[in-house]
Amino acid sequence: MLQLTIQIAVNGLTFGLIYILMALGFTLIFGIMRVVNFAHGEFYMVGAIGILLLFGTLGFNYYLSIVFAVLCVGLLGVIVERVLLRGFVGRELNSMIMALAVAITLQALAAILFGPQEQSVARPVTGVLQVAGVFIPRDRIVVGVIALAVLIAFYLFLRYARYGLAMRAVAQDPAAAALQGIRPGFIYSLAFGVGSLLAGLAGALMAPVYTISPFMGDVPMMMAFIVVILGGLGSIPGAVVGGLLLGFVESLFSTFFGSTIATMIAFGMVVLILLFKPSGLMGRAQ
Amino acid sequence: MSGLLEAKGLVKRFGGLSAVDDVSFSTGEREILGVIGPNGAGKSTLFNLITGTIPITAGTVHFDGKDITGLKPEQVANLGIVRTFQAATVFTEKTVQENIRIGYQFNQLGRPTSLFNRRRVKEFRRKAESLVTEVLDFVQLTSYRDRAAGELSYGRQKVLGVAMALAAGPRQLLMDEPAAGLNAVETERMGQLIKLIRDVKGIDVVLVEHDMAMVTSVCDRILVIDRGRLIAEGSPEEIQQNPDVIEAYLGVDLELD
Amino acid sequence: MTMRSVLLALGFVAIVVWPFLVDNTFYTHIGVSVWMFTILALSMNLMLRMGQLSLAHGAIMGLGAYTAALLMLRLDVPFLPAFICSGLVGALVAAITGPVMLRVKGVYFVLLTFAFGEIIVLMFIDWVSLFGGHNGIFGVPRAELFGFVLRDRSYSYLFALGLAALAYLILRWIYSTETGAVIDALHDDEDLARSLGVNALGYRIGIFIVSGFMAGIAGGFYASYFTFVTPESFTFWTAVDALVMNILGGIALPLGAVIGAVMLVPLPELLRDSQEYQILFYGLILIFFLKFLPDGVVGVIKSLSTDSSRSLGKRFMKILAWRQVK
Repeated sequence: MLQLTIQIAVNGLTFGLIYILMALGFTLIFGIMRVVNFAHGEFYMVGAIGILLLFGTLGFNYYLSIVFAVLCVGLLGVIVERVLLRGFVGRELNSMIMALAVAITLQALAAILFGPQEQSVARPVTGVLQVAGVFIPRDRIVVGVIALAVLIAFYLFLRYARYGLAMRAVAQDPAAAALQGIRPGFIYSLAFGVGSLLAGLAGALMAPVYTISPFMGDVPMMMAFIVVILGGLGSIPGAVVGGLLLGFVESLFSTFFGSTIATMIAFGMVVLILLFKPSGLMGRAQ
Repeated sequence: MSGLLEAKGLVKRFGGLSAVDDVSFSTGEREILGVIGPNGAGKSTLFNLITGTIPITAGTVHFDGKDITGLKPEQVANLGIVRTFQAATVFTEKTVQENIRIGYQFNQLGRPTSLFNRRRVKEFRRKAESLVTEVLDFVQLTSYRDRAAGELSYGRQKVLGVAMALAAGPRQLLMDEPAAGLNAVETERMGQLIKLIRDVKGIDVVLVEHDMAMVTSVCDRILVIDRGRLIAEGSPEEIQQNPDVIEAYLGVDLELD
Repeated sequence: MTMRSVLLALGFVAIVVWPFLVDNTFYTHIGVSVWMFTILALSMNLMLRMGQLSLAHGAIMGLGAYTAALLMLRLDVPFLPAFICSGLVGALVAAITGPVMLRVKGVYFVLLTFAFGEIIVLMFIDWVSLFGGHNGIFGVPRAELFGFVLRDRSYSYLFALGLAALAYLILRWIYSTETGAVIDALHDDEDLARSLGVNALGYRIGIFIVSGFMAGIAGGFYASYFTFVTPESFTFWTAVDALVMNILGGIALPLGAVIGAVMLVPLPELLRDSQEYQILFYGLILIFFLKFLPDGVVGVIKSLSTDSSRSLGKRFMKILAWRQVK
């Protein structure tokens, strides 16, 4: 019983870290631009395809491939923001629909360039670690450690870096931030770039774990969305709390009732939160 | 004679901050009551409390002897308390006459179920035309009848906002800064319109205002609010000489003339 | 009769009779799909007009489809009552969830309906004994009106066309009455509307119920036309399709929803062999409209019809200028 509990907790934690990675970018983009980024899953997918290309096909070093793929996704994010989303900042519904259009287009492009079928890359890390009867796949440990390191780096960036502080200022009050000489346009690009970069990283990390396809982003996008609603749309601590919560809930319910019920429970929590506390568990009251 | 509206011990707290702190007042019959105070004194919040736009922390509001505390904005409006807004709020894509018709319709057929009452709908349609003409004439917007409301000057849009409120058939009109954003001539006209509303239509008016000249020339009685509290009450002459009022306004960029 | 009304009458006759003249089951099938989705797009138009985008409409259509399928298959209910029940279930879902869900506004409403819709779809998947899981339900009887079974696609076409036309006329009527003024007011300035005495939530619920009924009817038709229902057909992407139809056609008029359905529905059918390019085209056309023609085809027609100049160049300049104003 104890063993099972620990196994569920460990699974929850490994799920949760990836969810947080996805959700952080999603919530950052909403907090700063008020854009519900329905294309978030597609940046995840592009990150994974980057790994497929660099690590799988060209045979580069896995970790080097991650860095390169992730930077490309960040750049793609900046371009999408500048060209397509900039004009819609502040109009929540229209920008959301534009993000949907971007998602559809990216999926189609990926399908045309890489084929619609599911593909996979060799696992760079294999084997299972067994500690006190609890099984942890080694690749999950690598994913967890990298995710954790990036989360800490991201936290430090927001907390101490000049641009991180500027981002938080814009999120809190764009008008006041502009008065202090912060150019919102630059911050939008930065936020969207960093947000997509984080999604791309999640995709790059999960590429060897799951199969890769143009439509692989749908599920993680949904997870990011659930996490962010639970924690509070636009709240960074909320994304962390929501990510862990969803990770554990999913791990628990899928162990006992199967994954469909687990997802249903997650959506049920979303509905309840939106109805009774739309600002989320950690969000500021409006 | 006492009027329709009576507020007792109204309190509104946002977090630990009291925006409105124990304010009581009542209106007089056929009276234009002014509410003044420095920026952020809680004047607009007072209106929002009376009309149910935001929930009341403590206190009661009575209208025509009936307790209306905690009613929703539309219920308050259906009872006959109609408000106007600080900004020019009109439906910009509709024509002037459509806007006024909407004002009448929204109070007559406010509940969706009233649409199933064919007699009521027919009566509304029959009366709407003449009411629109009458209100247009009253506020002197007849020549703009078929123009889109968004094309009107800001001043005329504010007048149209008042016209919509009148079309809703109020017994008590609450006006939030009717002169805000208007030039001297428009302010003068707005003042005259408010007097006409009282004199000709017999509607009681409460107005929140920044423009002291307008308040003193239009209002019969004035309440002064500072930091959420009622600090003075009286005729325009009394208010102008009240030392508390002068002190509250010291350092604030407003003239008492 | 003016030239215009003659053309309109001819156009209408052409729309009614072409399947019988062309006699190509594939094209007729596309025609049926167009009018079926027109009903859903019109039901979405009601929501968009009052400013609340619902991503649950795919799922509500699904509830209608499963209702009709289950009533006919399991309980041997004849088509017509089952069909009407599919609309009633849509309306019922709206009536039950509306009072709580419609208090939520803006993107929060969109996300709420998204989650709600996905829960319904997951229910279709997970409740295998009732809904048949991923495989769905097969062998739904075809529509039968007054003893006449719609086996021939051309008759299904007429039925779908009739339903779409009815839905269109209902919307036209709603928008032309006092309710239309309320809907626009709720969209533009709810605070002002309420301060004048409108029970905003009540009207929203009413509109949602009508919209839910239409979505349910579209589902009921779907079940009897395809003779099977599967959960995948009713995810939030179906609601997105209905939304995109409105954006391409233009939200300002119910005609926009019709135009959008005519533009969009044939796309996957005609480009069946190159699904990737079809999705790409879909995405790009949506981006193009959002960026350059935010008021859709109806917006373009409006800007052209108010223009007296005849030359094409001038008209084009007019579009550009009109875009600048936006």
